Amino acid sequence: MATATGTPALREEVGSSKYDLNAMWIMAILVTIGVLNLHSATYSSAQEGESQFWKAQLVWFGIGAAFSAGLYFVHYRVLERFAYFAYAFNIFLLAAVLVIGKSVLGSRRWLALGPASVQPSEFMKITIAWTLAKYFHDDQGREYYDLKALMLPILLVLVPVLLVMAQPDLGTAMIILAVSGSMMLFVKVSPRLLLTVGLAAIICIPVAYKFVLKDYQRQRIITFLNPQSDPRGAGYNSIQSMIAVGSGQFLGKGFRKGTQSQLNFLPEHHTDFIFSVYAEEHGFVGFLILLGLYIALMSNGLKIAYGSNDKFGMLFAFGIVALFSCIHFGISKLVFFT
Amino acid sequence: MLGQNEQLQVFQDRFRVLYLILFGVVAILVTRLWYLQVFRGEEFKQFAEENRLKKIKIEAPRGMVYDRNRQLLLDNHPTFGVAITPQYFRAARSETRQATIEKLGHIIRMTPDAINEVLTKARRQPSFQPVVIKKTLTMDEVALIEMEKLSLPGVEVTTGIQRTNVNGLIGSHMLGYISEIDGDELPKVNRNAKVPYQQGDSIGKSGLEQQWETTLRGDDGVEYVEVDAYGRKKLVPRQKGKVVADIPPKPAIPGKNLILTIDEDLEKTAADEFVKRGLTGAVVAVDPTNGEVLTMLSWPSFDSTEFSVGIRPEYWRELTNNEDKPLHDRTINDHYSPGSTFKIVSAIAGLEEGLINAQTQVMCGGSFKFGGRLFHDWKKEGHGLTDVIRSLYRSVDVFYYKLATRMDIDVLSRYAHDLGLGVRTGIHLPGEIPGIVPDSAWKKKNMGADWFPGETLSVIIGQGYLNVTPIQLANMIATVANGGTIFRPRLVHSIETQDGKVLETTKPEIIKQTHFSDETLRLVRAGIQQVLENQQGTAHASFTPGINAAGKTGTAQVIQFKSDAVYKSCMNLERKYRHHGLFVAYAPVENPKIAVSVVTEHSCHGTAAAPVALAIIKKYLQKLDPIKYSDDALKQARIDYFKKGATQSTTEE
Repeated sequence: MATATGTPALREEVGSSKYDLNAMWIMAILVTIGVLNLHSATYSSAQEGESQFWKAQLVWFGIGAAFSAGLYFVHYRVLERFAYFAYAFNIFLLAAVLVIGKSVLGSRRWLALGPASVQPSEFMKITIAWTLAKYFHDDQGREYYDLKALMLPILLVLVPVLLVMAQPDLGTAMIILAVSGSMMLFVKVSPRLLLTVGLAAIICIPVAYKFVLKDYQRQRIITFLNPQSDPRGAGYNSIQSMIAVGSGQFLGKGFRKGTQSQLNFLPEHHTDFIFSVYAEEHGFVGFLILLGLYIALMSNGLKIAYGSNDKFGMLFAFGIVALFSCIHFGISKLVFFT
Repeated sequence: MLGQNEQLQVFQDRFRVLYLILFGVVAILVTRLWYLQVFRGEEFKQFAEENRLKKIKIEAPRGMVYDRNRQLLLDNHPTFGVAITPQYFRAARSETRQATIEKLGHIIRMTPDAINEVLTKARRQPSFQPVVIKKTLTMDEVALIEMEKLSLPGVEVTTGIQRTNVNGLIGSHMLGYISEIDGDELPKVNRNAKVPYQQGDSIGKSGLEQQWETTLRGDDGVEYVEVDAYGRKKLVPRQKGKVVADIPPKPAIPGKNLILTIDEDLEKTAADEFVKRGLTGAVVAVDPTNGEVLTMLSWPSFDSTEFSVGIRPEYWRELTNNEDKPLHDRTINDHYSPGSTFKIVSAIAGLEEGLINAQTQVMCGGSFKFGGRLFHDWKKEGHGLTDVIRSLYRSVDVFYYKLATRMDIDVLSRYAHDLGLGVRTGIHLPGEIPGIVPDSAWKKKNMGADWFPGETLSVIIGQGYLNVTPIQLANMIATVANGGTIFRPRLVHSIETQDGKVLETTKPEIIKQTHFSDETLRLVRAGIQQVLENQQGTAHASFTPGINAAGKTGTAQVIQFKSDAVYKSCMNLERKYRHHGLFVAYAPVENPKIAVSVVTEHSCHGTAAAPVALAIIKKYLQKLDPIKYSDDALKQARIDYFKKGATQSTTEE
């Protein structure tokens, strides 16, 4: 913890970035759990090729690991220098997607790169943290950010958000917003602005709900909050997911023995509801282990942020942790709503 | 402006808040998971089990029905049908559902609209219950469905039973039929059911099938099969070949068997007689010593097997449009005026009341004047001097007209009741009607008028308001045979389990015991024995030497005639206006074993009914005593009879 005596947490060695072995171990365990769980989720799938997904996932993890290893030799300060370039490039890609992207199930998200496809919006999640870290790093000396001071960063966020929404991919747009929002909060927003935004939200949300949203959108919110209101239709997935998680009980049903997922009662079990598969098969105990690993990983991330000796490093690390939390806790939305 | 380090210092303070938020999130997560997995875990486990395990109904076989000699009367034949389980069907995409219905419709030759209609009809029942789309499939259709199963989510082949009357049309009214419960009937039916019925279940709708529904119906069993979200049995590699889940099945308990008092051979004999002679009508035969019903036949009949699998519309139209009303049970659900068979009752009443005796003689000149009106005898020329015995075997109307002038209608009706007429016999079958035996109170109530003495003259010869059912007539003649005991007619001899363990045996049930004097019984029995034996007896044509039977003919008017025109013109009438012929009989006279009533519709006279009765009596006696009543013995008796007759007529001359 920071104390009044100065800056004891700041590293003497400016510029060194030691590769964190703890984080590596945790990541390795999480990856193993993830791949095994994916294997279980797709194991008895009737869909052609789905049961082989875990192998592809393993390959991607390999690529990711190699990429990380490469980054090891790049000082993060170098990243700082390329932040806006990366941002511009990513915006270009997002725009490109809208023009030449592959359309899957009614939305354009994918960009073909030779034999593989990428989703530029996925990169944008990281790029936005990267860009904002750079912006706030450069924007020194403010105690609070009021609306005027936040104008530019908000613009930086809105451009990709609108591009992503145009695909449309609301989920990713929300994550970009959430990551950016938490970073802005972290750099300290003026209490007046906070209050104004809060009040505006309180007033606007009911009004928007009543007058702006269409019927089917309202219905979606209702079933999100209360799946039982439409158990056969929109609420079906949430209910089946709750049954999956709940029926795991204390110890779980065992690896590849989750009936909800193995017998297809749980829809989208290798994507949206992958956590439910895990919770069903490994129970409360399995969940605690997973949570422990996450906490370890995140506090590790926060420690890096905390220990950073410049604002860019700290904010970027924080942004990554925020992104990580959004993705992993956000997915099991059922955890927060009944 | 703050320096870089001071700024970082400010941020580092925020980590405390950050950790606090992280802690909060973790606490919520842990609480939530604890709530879902531990606190409500058992409940969700149940939901998951309900998802995974599909209850499969094991249909319990319905109890069989046998005749008194353990000949099978009602059998179960397996059939295959097809059902859709909405729970699994609705889990599929709407295009898939549409394709499924079209494909299935193509296989089973039903339009998609017709299938949708069946599904819509059943929408109120729980979605896990299969909705039967078609009850009978050919083996080819079954094979096609099984082959296409993967592209038919929610569709499954079901097995069912076809309840089969082994003897085709014979006995269908008494045995009854089963058919599927209509969705609308379900709540009503289930109000009293111990085990609730489900959509697609069959229930007894008439006859014994209805009366003994709870006995015959089994208790369906259940087995659990692991299924996926589309209702397909799941054969995941880890449990290949093991589709039945780890929950022990509940076996089906078969319905109980009924052993009837009916004799299949007598049923067949009766039906043969009706078919051979082109007759319609009814036959009831009972054992006068205990009330066991030996045969009960209403003709024409219907194929009850059709009903159990869903009757074809064209067959239904054929049955309902037929003027002879094949669905109508003439034995208990229709009544006829008893005609002269009622003279048995009148004679007993007169003798018991002391209004007539063995010496009473009435001169019959062919008509009788009463109240300014002329009452005709059926024989215009008259019968001459007539005593009670002759009044019975010649069926002399004038004898009874005379008796009627001294007989109160209320007394006559009391004797009719004592002999089982005008009241339900209490046979354990649905839909029995009581018939009508009028008295002065009845007329007051139903016609709002006093009884005219002239009306007694009609009633005493079995006409007028009188109406009785064939089963009452059988009971009446059985009571004459046994000397005054009215038994409740019994159809069920015993109830057994599927493997032959006797659960219950029924006992004779006396409804009424009347004591008639020996003299009354002697005279009446002698009179009706002469009906067959005496050469002037109205049914002498049916006399069978070697079989000592007693009987009485009767003619029931379908439309009113002047009584002198009764017989002459009958055969010239359109069939539906012709009189019904009746015959009641019992045998052997020395020790009665069988009492029969026969109604032959539009046959003009009871002499048409008598051969049917005699055929049944002969068949039954041959079974009781194969030697005494063998064809050879009867032939010999016939030869002896004619020899004797020849000598007699020689001596008379």
